[in-house]
Amino acid sequence: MTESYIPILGLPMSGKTTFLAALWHLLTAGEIESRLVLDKLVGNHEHLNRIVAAWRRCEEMSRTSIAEETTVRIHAHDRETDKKIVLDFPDLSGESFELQFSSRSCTKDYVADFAKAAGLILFVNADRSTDPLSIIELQELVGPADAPNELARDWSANLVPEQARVVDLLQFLQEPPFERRRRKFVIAISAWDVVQGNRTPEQWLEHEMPLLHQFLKNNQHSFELMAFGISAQGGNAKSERERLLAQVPSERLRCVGRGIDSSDISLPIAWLSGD
Amino acid sequence: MSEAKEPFYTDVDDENDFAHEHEVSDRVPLRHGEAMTAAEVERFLLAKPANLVSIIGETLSGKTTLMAAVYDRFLKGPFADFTFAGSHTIVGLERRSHHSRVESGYSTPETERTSLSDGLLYYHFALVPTDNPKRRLNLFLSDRAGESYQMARSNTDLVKALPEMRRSGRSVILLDGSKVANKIERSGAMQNVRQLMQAFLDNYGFDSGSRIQVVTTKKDLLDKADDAAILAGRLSDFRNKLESDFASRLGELCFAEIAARDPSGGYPVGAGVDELLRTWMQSDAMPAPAVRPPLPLPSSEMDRLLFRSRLEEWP
Ligand SMILES: Nc1nc2c(ncn2[C@@H]2O[C@H](COP(=O)(O)OP(=O)(O)OP(=O)(O)O)[C@@H](O)[C@H]2O)c(=O)[nH]1
Ligand SMILES: Nc1nc2c(ncn2[C@@H]2O[C@H](COP(=O)(O)OP(=O)(O)OP(=O)(O)O)[C@@H](O)[C@H]2O)c(=O)[nH]1
Ligand SMILES: [Mg+2]
Ligand SMILES: [Mg+2]
Repeated sequence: MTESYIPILGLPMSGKTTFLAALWHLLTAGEIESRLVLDKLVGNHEHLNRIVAAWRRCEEMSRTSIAEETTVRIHAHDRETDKKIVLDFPDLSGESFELQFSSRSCTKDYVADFAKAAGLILFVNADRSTDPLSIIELQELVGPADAPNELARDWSANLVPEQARVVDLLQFLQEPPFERRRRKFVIAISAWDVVQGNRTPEQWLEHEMPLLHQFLKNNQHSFELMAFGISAQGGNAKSERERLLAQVPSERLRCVGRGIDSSDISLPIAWLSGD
Repeated sequence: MSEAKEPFYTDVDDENDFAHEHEVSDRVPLRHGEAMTAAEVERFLLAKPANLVSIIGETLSGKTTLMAAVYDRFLKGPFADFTFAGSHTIVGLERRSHHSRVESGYSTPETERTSLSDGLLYYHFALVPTDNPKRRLNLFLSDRAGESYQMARSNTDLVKALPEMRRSGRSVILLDGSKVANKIERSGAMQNVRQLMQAFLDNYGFDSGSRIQVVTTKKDLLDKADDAAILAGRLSDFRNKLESDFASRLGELCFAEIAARDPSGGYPVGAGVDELLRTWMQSDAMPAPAVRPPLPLPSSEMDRLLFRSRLEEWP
């Protein structure tokens, strides 16, 4: 039996909690065949049960607060290798990553937990406004501004584009106090259902988050990269709720990457916890 | 981390690269991410090789914008045959880019004046050549308030307080295109650049090893000048004269034109900067651990600098 600790990184609203809820449903409901299979139901599942209840009702998760952060434990085995795995996922608050970037510090627990991490998942959400426009780009869209705007805002860490913040969060892991080694790394692009056309997750990344894409390509000695597009809710919980409620819940799921297109969102986890 | 005493920088504090004294005590400090001091760059150089380029120019000539344009381009994808591999100064770069973004509330892209009290700062880029993905190169670009260069031009005793030209493998001197485009300011701007070069040459700022690029900024404004043909002639006379008067005393002297950020959008962000970046990434932009006066280096430090390995393969 191996124990895998898998930190889940991502700024607020990146899809971390929705993924955990959907994974818990997938493993406990047994509606479809998945790569990871629930082994036994032991321990405290209060948090998982709370988030999965909302997920089954197709409701949006509430934002995870820093005070609410918990680690959930799932006993499973790999259907292909028969290996027994104990998965520990912290449901971290996106705010704690914002704070990490702006305060240039992290908790001692975060450092200690990374020492035992098998690999990590980083979430970015495909369903949100793009990075800040430059003024020149805006002018290309709407024409030149006529009057100077007096509402100038000071710089703050929260104005930094997500891709730059995420790059910096990953750079932290490359130096002390973190152990310098290669880690398996899944970048999960959540809300994949909103992505148009036949783009692969890597193409999406290259196009939408070019700085992060370049960084990951060039730091494979630190991060062994797999990109997945994941739809953990299946669609928009507000506008598409009726359609989602009509489906078998596990069939709402979608996991796309390296030749995979399936409902089995345990695949990235199986890869992370594998040898 | 070994605390090397800084060889030639006197204006440095004892800050290290990590944020500290956060109010919550169970938190671990991480890299501050701001622009780096000369001392921090020296510490970096003890561990890894890097190219150092000093960006020199009078107030508002476009130094900070040039550096910010490099970052802006990498935010959008590969640039000048390089891809982005990391930066120790992301926060610093982001602060400098803020005023060119819509969220800042400004309606034209602006760069905030660099303050004199900031002293000498460096911005870091780790870059990988697209045709050699195994190679990782570090680049530091210097930035400081243009007033310091103006002061050194007028009082050459101050040249020695500007160590960056002696330390860097290349120096870029900016000629402010907005002044060149303006008939009234034109001659003054050109003569100021000339005088600055002369002051640096005569006071050990530059020497026969220095590689100098004289770069005219804001070329969008040159195009729009109402006497563009005359202007072009004056610029070319100016360059020829620099060439004939100074080139023999320098390692290299060349010229370029850029539009780092044309607010009218006629040129893409970083126009002409790609050519510069390519030269900055060449191995001859390694820091010059040169034995050039006045450098009161303790011999152990000197050895360390002289025997540092050249560009290493990554990892
Ligand atoms: N369209 C669509 N939206 C999704 C999907 N999964 C998550 N979302 C939306 O993404 C947003 C963020 O989801 P969360 O899972 O709460 O994000 P989080 O990373 O846990 O956020 P914090 O707790 O604030 O750190 C919510 O508005 C979700 O409705 C999906 O599969 N499709
Ligand atoms: N038209 C035009 N303006 C530019 C260009 N590049 C920079 N500017 C403007 O020139 C002004 C000065 O640029 P900075 O980069 O702040 O100049 P600096 O050399 O750092 O100035 P100090 O910090 O005061 O030493 C800013 O208002 C920029 O917006 C360009 O390519 N075209
Ligand atoms: Mg959450
Ligand atoms: Mg400046």
